[in-house]
Amino acid sequence: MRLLAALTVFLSACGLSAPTVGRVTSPGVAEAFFETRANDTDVLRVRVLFPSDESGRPMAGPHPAVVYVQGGFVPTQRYAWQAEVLARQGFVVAMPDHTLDLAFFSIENGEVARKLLVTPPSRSLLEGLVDANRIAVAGHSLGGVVAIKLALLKGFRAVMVQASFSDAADDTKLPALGMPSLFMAGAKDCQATLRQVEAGWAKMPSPTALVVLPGTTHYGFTDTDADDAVKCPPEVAIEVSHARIAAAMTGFLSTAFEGSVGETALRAVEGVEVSVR
Amino acid sequence: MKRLALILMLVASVSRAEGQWLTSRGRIAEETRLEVFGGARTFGVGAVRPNDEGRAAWSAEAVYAFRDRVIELRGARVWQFTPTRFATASVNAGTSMYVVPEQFNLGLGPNVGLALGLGGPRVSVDLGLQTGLDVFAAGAHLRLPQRLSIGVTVRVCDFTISAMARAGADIVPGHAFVGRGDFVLSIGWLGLR
Repeated sequence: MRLLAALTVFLSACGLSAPTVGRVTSPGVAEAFFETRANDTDVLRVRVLFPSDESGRPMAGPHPAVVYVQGGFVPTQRYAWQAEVLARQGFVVAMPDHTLDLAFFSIENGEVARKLLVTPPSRSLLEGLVDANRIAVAGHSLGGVVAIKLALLKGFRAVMVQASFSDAADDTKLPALGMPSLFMAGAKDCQATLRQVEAGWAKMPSPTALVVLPGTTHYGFTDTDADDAVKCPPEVAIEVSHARIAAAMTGFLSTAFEGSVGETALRAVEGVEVSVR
Repeated sequence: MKRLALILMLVASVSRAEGQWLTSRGRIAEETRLEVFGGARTFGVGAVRPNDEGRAAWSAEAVYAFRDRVIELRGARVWQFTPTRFATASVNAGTSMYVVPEQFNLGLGPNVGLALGLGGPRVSVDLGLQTGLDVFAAGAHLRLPQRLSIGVTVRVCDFTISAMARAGADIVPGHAFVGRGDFVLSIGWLGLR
């Protein structure tokens, strides 16, 4: 018993990682890794990108935020470009890890990440950084399915779904979603086909927007679409896809926390098809 | 099917699981078994001490989940309810305790298991089912771990080498399930007379 007590005291000194400064990844953006507890016993690592000064210290908040859920078997690093875009626009972006990079095995990690943003460790760089009433959830592919599940938990204020659609098990809950949603579909996506995404979008309650990206494939939302090159080649350069995705996200988020989908900004995105209802 | 098998194997190597390892075997050895084991996320030591008839035993395990920085203590009573033969079955009931140091959080709960051992004293394959209930002091959270396990044990003289894996889910009332898995290699010693 004494040994256990001594071990407990010793290990309690090994606290969870709560950085006070980040690593600058590009001008105006820094990255830091936090640890938090999930499911009582599990250490969950959360990658956080945020608006920063040149030394990696956060720009004074509170900022709006996005919790981003990775696609199946796709590391969070491959969505860092999206997080950089959003952080440059003044958002704090949290990307929680998932076992095996499969969000399905720990669906609520995104909610744990939201709670980390809202109630961060004291004296960490997240303290006072995020506006708890302006947090959106987003996800790609399997992460999109999970993002909708997280949105249904009611802690978020907007949801963005990329190359994905809802789990049929959630269909009856969707009418009570109560927040703006944005669906993005690649017209050349062979995994979440345009038809499937459109059918999923049709189930979403208003206000909601669908942005179709011509020539974009499933992995066009990640850092490279090389995975699509053989069976499902893209018809636009990935830089073009990225520019459209970035413009659609920031356009949607410009008014999402006020309860609308940013229709004017979405229709201004060059080269995409926009539907709103 | 191949993809599912691959996923289960990968989950087993990177995730966590709870409940006894050493009693998830169908056959109770006649000798006291001391064992050290380690996997991708945990390492630990344990012992199984049989009664004189070799049909029941006590077990204890102390485990450190080094990635999650959690101490786990487990104890169980196991009863072999069939004669010792090619297919030997046992049932166990015990308790697991978790200490989460930096939060001073404590979890405790009962668990039960059923195991079927196929093979002889030298080589055996063990299949198991485990279920339980964990209650955590911080927030009075509940979770119900459900596991399937499989293990292979080879005995050479007084030593055993085992590879054991299990996978399943924690059912958390009011929340989404959490996928779980674990894999350990162990070395046992049965030379304690």
